[in-house]
Amino acid sequence: MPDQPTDASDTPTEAPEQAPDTPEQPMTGIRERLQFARESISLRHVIAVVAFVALALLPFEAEPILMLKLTAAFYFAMFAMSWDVVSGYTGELSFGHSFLFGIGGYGAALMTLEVGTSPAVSIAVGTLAAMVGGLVIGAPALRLKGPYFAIITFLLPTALLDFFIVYKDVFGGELGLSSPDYLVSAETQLTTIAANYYLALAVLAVLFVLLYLVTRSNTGKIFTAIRESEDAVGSVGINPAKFKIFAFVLSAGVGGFAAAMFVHTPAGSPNPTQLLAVTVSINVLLATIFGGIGTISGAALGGVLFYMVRDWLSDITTEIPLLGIEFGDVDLVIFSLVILAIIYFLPGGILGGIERLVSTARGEEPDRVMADGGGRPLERIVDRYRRSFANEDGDDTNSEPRSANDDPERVRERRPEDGEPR
Amino acid sequence: MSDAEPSDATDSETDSGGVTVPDADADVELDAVSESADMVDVPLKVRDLRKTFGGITAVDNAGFEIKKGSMTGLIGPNGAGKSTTFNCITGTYTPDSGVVEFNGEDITGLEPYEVAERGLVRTFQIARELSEMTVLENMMVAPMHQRGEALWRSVFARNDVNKQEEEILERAWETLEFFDIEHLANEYAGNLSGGQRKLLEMARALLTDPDMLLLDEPFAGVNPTLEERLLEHIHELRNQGYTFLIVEHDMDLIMENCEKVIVMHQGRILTEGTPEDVRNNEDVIEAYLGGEV
Repeated sequence: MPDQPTDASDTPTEAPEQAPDTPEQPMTGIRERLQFARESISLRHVIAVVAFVALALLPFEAEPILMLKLTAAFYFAMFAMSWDVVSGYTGELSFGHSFLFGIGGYGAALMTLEVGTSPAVSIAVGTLAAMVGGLVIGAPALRLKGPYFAIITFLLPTALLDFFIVYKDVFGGELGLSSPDYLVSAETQLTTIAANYYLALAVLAVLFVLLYLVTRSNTGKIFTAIRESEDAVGSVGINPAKFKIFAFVLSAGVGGFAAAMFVHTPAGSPNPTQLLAVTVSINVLLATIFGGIGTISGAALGGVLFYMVRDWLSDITTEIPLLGIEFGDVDLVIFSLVILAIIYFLPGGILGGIERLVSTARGEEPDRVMADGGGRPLERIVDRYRRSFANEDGDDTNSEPRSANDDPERVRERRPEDGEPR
Repeated sequence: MSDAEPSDATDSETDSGGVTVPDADADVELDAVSESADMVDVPLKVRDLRKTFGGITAVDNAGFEIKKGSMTGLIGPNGAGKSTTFNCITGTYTPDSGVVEFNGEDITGLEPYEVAERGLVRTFQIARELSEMTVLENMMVAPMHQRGEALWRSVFARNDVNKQEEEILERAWETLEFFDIEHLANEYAGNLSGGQRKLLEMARALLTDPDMLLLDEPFAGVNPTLEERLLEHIHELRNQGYTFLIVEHDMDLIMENCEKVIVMHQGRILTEGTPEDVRNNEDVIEAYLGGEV
């Protein structure tokens, strides 16, 4: 055994594996530096940091309307991330996450509008309400085996919307409620928009880090393990239902919080189209697949891109040749075709595609868009950055080229590099 | 299993078998009471187990006992009810009636994870590897009651979690070495061959610190070389004091390696005894060969 470990699981195997493909050369030009950075810190992190910085600088250039759209896109990305924790990680497909967004958003808005609490308190209440909703639904539904969880979740938002329509005096029916006060507002409209933009970006970043750490923790490992085989998880004495409920309530908390925040911004208001409609649930799912299911980064990236691209498509007034209809009228059809193509050609989504492209260009075996090694999440990530800046190897276990398996007993073909979407 | 219905002819023998087992129980239970749970001589007792699926009686009043430190084979032709029995014991199915007792505790109808928590750990006929996780990660899921299973602790308060994890990691490596698959530690489990998956699954089961291992067709789809190795490992573990119950339909394999053999046929326990007894039992010959000798 060449690499007997002594420490956290990801450290030991790196040195021998990294040696051949990291030639020790003095760093001179920017290209070499970039090359080094890419090898030390996973590409995903580079994309995340670059995107974050770009988005943070954007308001200095952008039109207010674009900022508003991006604000909405950020909240949508949070919805997508919340969905991914349950469906991407534990593999329990939820087709009705908008149920949770609805509870969180409407709950918070009603607190502000009817009860008269401050937006901050309302948001806390909305988040809690969504978590309770998640627990009430998840606890029984997630114990069912097979597709029943998906079916139950599919019905939930519809039922809730019907309820809102029946009691439209309180819930505003199909038109929704009027917008409550903003959580942050400033003197001018422009400053308010910019402030809300930054708030949304900050919340996105915080939730991203939170979910990233959770999914890389031991508990997150169990989520992944449940997706891989619930039977195996049960057979080693871990209660899969408990962890699925765990994931679902966490997801409800994140989604409900995002929705509660969203209705208190100029970009969103408590109405079915933005929070509760079936299309919201489906869009969240599509956005995550678009970005890369089973990765928090993929969901965040997919969420923002999906929202912006769809918005861009729906504004195109050019007529489609022969059909005589505008692009914008059939934007969802076009987008669905794009998603189909992605599912077919890029099972890891956009993120998986980029990663594969880069690693192929570097002549490596492509890395699958999946789990990191075990260990302490935050420390491990920080450590990786630290080591990479201190000129050491600092890659993930899984980023190493997987060892060629020379075992004669090996009879099966290697699995496809990108995990099948589930 | 479709041939379970027209089997009234064998009723009488099975009934007599069913009567003798509770008698034996009574004796053993007296012993068991005076001793602590891990000292129980007969950790697993199955009594009058019955499971039907619609009109098919998959398991029909099956009963048997497994002695501590023994290696018992459960054999029978296809559809004999072996796997159903197995699933009833491990909590995958809830039996219609009957009792499963483990270390003196009634575990009938418990969830699979609850059965595993009590030290009765199974492997699967088709290995359930966590294919998108590495072999090492597959292993590290297994040890019970990890501190990192609490969300807050696993994300934020990590010192105690890490300390425990290092111990677990060490044990995981040792176990992988025992099964000679440590060179695959950082390979995705989905990249392993069928046989290696079986090894991984057994390694994972061991890491839960079981009292008893239930192996569901551990040799199915395993090539002869690996089968030999797997058998060596099982014998070695057994010498270390583990108790095994192995479901298999390869009769010869069981005959050569187990000291006790239970034969099931059409949902019932046809006979049980030493391989020698079973080999010469005419009912067994009939069940397996349909009358030809």
